[in-house]
Amino acid sequence: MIEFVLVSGFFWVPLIYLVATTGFRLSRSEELVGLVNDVSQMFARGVDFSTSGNQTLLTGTLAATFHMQGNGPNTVTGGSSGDMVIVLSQYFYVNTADPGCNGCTNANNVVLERRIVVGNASLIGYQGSPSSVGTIPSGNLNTTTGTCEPADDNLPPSTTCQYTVAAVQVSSSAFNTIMTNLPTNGGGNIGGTVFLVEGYYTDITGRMIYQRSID
Amino acid sequence: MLETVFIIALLFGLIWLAWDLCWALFAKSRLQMAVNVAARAAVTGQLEDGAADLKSTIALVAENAAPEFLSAHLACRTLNINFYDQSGNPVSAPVDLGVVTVSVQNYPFTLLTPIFSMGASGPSTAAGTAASAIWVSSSRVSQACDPLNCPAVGTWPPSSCP
Repeated sequence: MIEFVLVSGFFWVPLIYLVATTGFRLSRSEELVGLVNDVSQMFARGVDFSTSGNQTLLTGTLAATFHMQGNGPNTVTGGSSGDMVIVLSQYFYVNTADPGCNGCTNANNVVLERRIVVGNASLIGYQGSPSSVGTIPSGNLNTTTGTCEPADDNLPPSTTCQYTVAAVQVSSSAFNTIMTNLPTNGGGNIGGTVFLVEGYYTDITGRMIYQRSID
Repeated sequence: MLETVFIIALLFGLIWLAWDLCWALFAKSRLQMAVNVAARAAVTGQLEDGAADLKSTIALVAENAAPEFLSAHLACRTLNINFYDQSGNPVSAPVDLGVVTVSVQNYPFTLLTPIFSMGASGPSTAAGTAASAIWVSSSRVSQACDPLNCPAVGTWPPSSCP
């Protein structure tokens, strides 16, 4: 009997727990991959997730099984409850040949021109998951649209902050953690844009699952 | 002898757990793939052979993508097709820069392990009571159809299910 207790306690029970939790996490990971990919292509195609209707669509329908909470009054900076957060970021390479730049402050730099956080913002970077690259300082943040231009509610590329606000620059080393060789469109007259969507989810075991998608 | 019985019970528990997890993951991934394919078909605005309208086409594509899980009977009861406008409000037909979502909700999933599927309280199916339910969803940006070749949207689910 002693042997049975020892073998059960140190082998069978941990093994069954490991198999069960790995299975649940695998299942959730697969779901999260699909969700983040869907949201990413929608964001890149122009769906505006700063509007309450689309945020409700995200939290109530697309991510309905993730126990994701809406933002409440914090339209683009996220809430503080729920098991999940989605971070939508729009990066832009400012080409010197871009007519909107014309020798501007951010020439030859990658900038973060828009960020929308939906869900529990405290999960970003939780348990060693990567923090979203770049920031838009609160003084430059449009709290309605998530762009770096508080003066109006225009959306990129109709904004000008991506050229003039140095605080939204993203260093090459930081951006390289997302992708290298952002298309700079050297032959044309505008820079490249990257849409990055990151999903942070704490599963039934309380551990983090992180997934991101680039469009 | 007693230890052997206990060990075998745990061993079977482990085998059944791994078996059911694999089965659940397989079912979920197949259904996820089916709604992905159906959502992609939805944004083309083209009708499938044998389908009278857009929603029937979407359902048919989903059924054909995972026929072992999504029969006409189950598709009629679990498949949901919704369109939203640019602001996230439900609309009756695809619009430019709107969203189309195709989801399988509350799909009755019966575990293979007999001990878990007995006395379960999940959704009812023709095969009996399921132990749990699967939810999968896929979304795409929609576009309004070509006015010269615009298929009827139709209704889903149909008024009577097979």
